[in-house]
Amino acid sequence: MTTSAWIFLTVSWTMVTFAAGWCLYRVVVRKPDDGPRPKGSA
Amino acid sequence: MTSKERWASRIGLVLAMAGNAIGLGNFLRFPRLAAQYGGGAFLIPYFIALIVFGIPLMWLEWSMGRFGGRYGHNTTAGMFHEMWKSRAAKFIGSLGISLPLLFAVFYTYVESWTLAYSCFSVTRSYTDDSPRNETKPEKQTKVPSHDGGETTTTRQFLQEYQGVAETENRRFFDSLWPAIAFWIVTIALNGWVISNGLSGGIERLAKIAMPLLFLFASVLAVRVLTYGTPDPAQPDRSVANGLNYIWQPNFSALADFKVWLMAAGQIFFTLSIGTGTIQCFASYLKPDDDCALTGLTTATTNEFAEVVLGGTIAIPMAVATFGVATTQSIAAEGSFNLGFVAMPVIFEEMTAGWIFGAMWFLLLFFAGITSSVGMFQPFVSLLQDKYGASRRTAAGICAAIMLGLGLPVVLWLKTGYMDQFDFWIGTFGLVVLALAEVVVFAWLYRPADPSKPDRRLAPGEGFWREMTHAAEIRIPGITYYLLRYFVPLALVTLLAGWTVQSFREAILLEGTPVEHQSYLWAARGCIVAVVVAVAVLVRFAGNRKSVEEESS
Repeated sequence: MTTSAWIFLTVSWTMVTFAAGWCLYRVVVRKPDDGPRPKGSA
Repeated sequence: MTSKERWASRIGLVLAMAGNAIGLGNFLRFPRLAAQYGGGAFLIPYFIALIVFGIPLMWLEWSMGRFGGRYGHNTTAGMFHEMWKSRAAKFIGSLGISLPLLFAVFYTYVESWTLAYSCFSVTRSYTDDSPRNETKPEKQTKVPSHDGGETTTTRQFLQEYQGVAETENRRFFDSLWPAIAFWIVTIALNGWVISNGLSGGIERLAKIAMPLLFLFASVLAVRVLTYGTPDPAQPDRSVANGLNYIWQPNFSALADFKVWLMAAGQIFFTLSIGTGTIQCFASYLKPDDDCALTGLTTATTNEFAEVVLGGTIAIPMAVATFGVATTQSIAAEGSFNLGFVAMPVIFEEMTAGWIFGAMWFLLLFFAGITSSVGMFQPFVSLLQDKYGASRRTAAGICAAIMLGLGLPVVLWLKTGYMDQFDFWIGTFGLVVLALAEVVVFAWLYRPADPSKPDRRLAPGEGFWREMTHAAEIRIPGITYYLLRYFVPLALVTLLAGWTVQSFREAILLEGTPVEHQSYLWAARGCIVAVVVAVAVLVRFAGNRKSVEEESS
């Protein structure tokens, strides 16, 4: 693989993996200061 | 609210929304487009389109849906009417019901191919070694292909399955009945899921299918990355070259307007924007549920599935097996060839390939069914909420419509009947509805000012309050300007670009054989008939509500 291909692959993968991971973390594992989620709330 | 249904859990909602977005396009269309339109450089317009109008429009649709749900509306018809007190609002909004229904007409058929092929992978039916073929050695024949004949058998298998092959010298299928059988099973499965309701059907399906989809995709991705150079005699045929082919940036491609159009179109397609399903799903949120973080989670999950998993499997595998030149010609012939012609050959050459083949097609089937059940939901909501139909009745009506409208798609595939649906609904219709929703919500929606009820908020203020309401993350302020000014202009440009690009071929049918043109006009007639029929249903639903309001 060429260096430019590596760069595009690494940057793209890192970006989307980090974004998806951060969002899922925030949704699944809520921070304590967010307070309790209302019961039955989606 | 007339409907008491709710999402059972937040993660269930995320999975259902992500399932709606993650479809066949993630694993077949994206890698083909990336390879064809600039490699790594394609990702530049792709990510720009994602940020400047994909995510903003997705947030707009989520908040529009939550807004509608607050007033008992689960479809864009009611939502548009609630935001814009005009006779035209409901009819334009009814596109959010008719478009996904029409989308499902051809999507469920393609989905049924994936179900069929997962069975064929297990039985190894699509090879020359299949038991049936062994009995008919005299019927060996060649189908024209651009890859030196390596995909001749699987190409013929697909063409015979679809009923588009010549009737003589058939090796695998004597009739279209197997395709019809799998198609009916697919519709029945969709109907069964819908009949079980929102949380009991769609959400439960997503909770099972989505983890399996990610598991299968991850296993296949690992298998691809460890595939190396399958034939040492041909060192250029390797996974590394495959990844290089898909990620090597060709910056000169960025000067081509078509590349930007394709990237923007892919963002629409992959996020399911402009179909009316996001609004419908979001209408089952509670008024104070978050849209910003939850919506972004579904979009980023979809992007992970597309860029990381989708970009790793099909194209690199094809290059490792066929080489770059052949993969280019396969990709140029379309996504289906990549998935249904090239991939079976690859699995055949691999140890325990039938397992990976079954995984690949099941993964596509899960991606397909989690999307298609969402396409029915706006129509189901209309029947339930405005016509008092039960879930089972609504699901039965949907299945009957699919069988009625889908049969010509199955029978007339060769004529390009399905391509008309793909263009007018899957390409053009999505942008038209997205343009309508951004104009109605960001320009025409003017609710009463909470501090001065006798005054109305300025255009754009109401939608921004609605979008940022109960948000668990801060929506960047630039999103307001993007949605108000940039997105409408970009969508008009997109529509104009597509119209100019495909005017002769897709609209005037130039280059289409004369004997096929009547079928294509029939497809257009079918599309218009459904759009009008749904608009009439919406109108009567409105009248009925008015009578109830008068009597009360």
